[in-house]
Amino acid sequence: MEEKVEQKVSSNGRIVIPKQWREEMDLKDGSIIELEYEGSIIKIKKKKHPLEDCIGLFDGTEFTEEDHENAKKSLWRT
Amino acid sequence: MPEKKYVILDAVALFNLQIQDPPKILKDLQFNIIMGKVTAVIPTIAISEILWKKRKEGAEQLEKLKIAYSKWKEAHNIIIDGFDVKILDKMIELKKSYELHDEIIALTCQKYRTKTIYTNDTKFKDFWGLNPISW
Repeated sequence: MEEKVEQKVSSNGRIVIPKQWREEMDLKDGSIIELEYEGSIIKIKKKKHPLEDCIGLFDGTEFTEEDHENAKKSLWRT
Repeated sequence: MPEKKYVILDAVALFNLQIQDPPKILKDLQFNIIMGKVTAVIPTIAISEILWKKRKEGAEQLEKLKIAYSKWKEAHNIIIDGFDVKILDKMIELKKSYELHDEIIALTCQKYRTKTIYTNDTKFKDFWGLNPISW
């Protein structure tokens, strides 16, 4: 559902994203957003951190301390 | 502007960042990296160790590592750093020999002027005065 709010833009261009929208988009202090300018429309998108695409990627496998020790040994083995 | 907070990851910590539900300490680290609160430094040696294991697991797992590697490179607050002359300059000043792997990791911490390393290896505290964060 499309929602609209009206706001005054401050002298240095600041606006406030409504709290409910921030919560729905999981925008927290420090989140990075992307602004896209298309003629008379400005779109605001939450920028996804690349690490977010990695979470779950190694599920079902493991890298134990023993694996680590074996990998270390292989580094210097001739 | 606040000073960047660097944290160094060993291979086991790095591996666990790609897990949906890692131990709480690493879950918090995932969050702090995603929110840009810390800059994670990954020594190339740690990536090579995961690569060693993933190759053994076959093409599918190797492909997943390739995806993760490309994402780490893309992130603004993840630094992949290698064994280089700066580390060798520090290494040459050491009076005592340690395991080479540990020297490289510990001196990477020195290079970034941080004591924070995510590892379960307690040697780092005993030998290097670092602050290992274990889980």
